[in-house]
Amino acid sequence: MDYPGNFETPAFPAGKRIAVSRFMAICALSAFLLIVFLCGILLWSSQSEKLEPFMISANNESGEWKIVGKNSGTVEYSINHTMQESVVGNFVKDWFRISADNSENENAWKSCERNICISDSLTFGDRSCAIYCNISEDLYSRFSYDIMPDYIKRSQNGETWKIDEKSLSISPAGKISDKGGTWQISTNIVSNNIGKFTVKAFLKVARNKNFYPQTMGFYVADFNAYRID
Amino acid sequence: MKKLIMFFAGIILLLLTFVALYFSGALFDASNDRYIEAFVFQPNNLSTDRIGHPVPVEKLSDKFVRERLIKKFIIEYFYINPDVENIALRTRSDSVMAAMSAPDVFKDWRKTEVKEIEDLSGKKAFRTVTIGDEILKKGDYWEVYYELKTWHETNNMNLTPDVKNGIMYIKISFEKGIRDKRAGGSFDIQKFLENGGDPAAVFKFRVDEVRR
Repeated sequence: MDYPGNFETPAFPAGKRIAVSRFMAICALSAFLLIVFLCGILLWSSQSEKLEPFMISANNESGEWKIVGKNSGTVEYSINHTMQESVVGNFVKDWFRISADNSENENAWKSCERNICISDSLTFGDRSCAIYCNISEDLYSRFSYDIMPDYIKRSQNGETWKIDEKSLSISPAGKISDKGGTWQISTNIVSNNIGKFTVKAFLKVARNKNFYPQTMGFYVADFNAYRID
Repeated sequence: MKKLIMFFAGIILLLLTFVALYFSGALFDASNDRYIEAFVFQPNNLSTDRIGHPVPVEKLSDKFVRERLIKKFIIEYFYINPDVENIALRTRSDSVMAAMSAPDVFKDWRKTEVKEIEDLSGKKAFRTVTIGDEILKKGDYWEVYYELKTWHETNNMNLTPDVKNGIMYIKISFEKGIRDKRAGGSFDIQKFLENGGDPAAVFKFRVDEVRR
């Protein structure tokens, strides 16, 4: 010891190295904690600022505003939703069809046994009982009393109707559930007599698995159409 | 020996840091993960429903939002479809009409128009509402020209609709933006929209008076 001549003389020779290694250890620990903290902040910030834009579509005719898109990245339709849409599309094609072939019309519009609707005798593309097999008894009775006489008259005058499938638009008019719902359609009908005209219709789809198994139980319970122009 | 232990402890610490980095990175990637599910559009003409370029509400002009809300109100006021359940939903006290109207306006509407709407809907009638392009302000009121087309009979392709024209004067409270409160309480828009709420009800818009 050369105190007070030499202040640099260490009291403990290894003290400096220990102090340096302690300092380094504290630095390494701080850096470690800082990195972990920054990772947490990064994760938190990426999760916290999440935009959920809703896209709104307004229907100028019905005044209906609905959400047509959300940034969920996926669009999902249930099988029941898709089946109802299919029932609606196929039914509308049959309802607004007047063929030049009178026997085809009679076949499509006639009343049948319910068993025939679900039997294998009806092949794909066969329009036999096309109306009856997809609607309720009540609606069929309205069809046969109110609609069919007009269709027969038109058919006898040589008029034919067919929907322009490219113009067919089908959308829900309210909530659609697994038990059915109300749908609205808009389509152009091409007539050889009066040309093309636009129709808007509302269809109520209901479900009865026993009577309509060919469409998972879905059938048209009510149909209301209006000629727009 | 002690130095060797310290050295290995340092290595382990470093490895732990890299493991933490790896997991944070993986979690970060997972938070942004997106899946694409293929789906096929049906070959329908959906042009009337198809949206154009999406624009945030903040970027739309006051006029644009206000006019659409006025049109929505007038259509909601007169529109009829042959679905009585739909009419029942539209006339409820938690309907979009109630959200867009002052209590007196909603009460008057229920007293005057709703009865006719319910009657016609029950008889399977259909009514469309067309609003004139120009919506001008006359004093405190907005002047709206409208045309009502009513089909009194269903499934009759020979029927032409009854056409009625009219003018409605409405006094409104409108402020651009989205409501943060509804009926005095807090309003969770996301939940409201996800539960099928009408988007028109989220705007700060209210009709205070209707004159015809």
